[in-house]
Amino acid sequence: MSERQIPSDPELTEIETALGALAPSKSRIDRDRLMFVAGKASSRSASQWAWPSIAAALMAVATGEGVALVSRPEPRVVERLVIVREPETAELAPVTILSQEPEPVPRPGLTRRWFDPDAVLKPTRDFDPRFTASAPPESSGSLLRTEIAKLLHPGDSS
Amino acid sequence: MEPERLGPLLDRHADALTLYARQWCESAEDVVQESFLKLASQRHSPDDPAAWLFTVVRRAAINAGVAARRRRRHESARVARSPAWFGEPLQRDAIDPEAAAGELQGLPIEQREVIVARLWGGLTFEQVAAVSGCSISTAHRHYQSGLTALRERLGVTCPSVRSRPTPS
Repeated sequence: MSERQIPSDPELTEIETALGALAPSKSRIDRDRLMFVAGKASSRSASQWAWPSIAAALMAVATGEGVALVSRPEPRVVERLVIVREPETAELAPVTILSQEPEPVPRPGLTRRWFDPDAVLKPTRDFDPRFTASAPPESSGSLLRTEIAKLLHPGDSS
Repeated sequence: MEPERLGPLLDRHADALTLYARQWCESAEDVVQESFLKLASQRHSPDDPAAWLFTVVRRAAINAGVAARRRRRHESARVARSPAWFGEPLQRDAIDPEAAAGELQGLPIEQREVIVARLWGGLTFEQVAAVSGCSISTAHRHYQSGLTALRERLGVTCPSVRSRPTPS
């Protein structure tokens, strides 16, 4: 049933008109103050969910990361046998290394001499009684005297 | 809702909404103001702001009336007398506003709210039915029966004209 389908009762038109002539008493609402507060409310409603939404999203991300970090399984060590086939190569022939000593180059002004250690060490052996195993060891004092006597009398054989 | 759209709604419906809220509570201005603030904080304005306002005012006024009755049980006397429902009539032979308010208060709330919303709120019967939560035919039936009762009590053929001193 719509507005047009409702028949208007002519008997009620009079009372309807008479009552409609009465105006509701003026509301004591402070219009200016209400408009000011409504302006504040409308501006607050536009931005009041922006920062909470961002904070909630970040908190959800952080929580998810934390849960994922806690519930993450331990790293698993997987042992796997890997067969590496070497590439087939041709059989190498044995290598013979030939070495050749270079000819010594004589330096000018120098003659080659063979070093004979016996000839070098012989006077020392003769002189130092320690090289003779049969001779008894002498004291340092007697050895000194013998050396001095040899120096003073080189021809004597003591 | 933008304040630019709120201003005309306030000018157009504030008085009728206050009268409508008085059907249930005495703090009608507070209820109406809160309803306008609620409308201002809506992100998307309703399709029918007038019907939306009447619905919100009705719900808030009923709640405020229940709370006031509960509070009044603990109070010994009324602090303030409720303000008049109607202002000074524009026509001299109009119905006495106090008598009309008195007879209106004697009607059942179902009839009263439909008459106020229709006559002074300017709502259609579709809007009244949506606000009151009933069918259109029910709203129309309440309206007719309420007006019939008022006509009998007020005597429209011989309206109780408010006695005024005639200027000499």
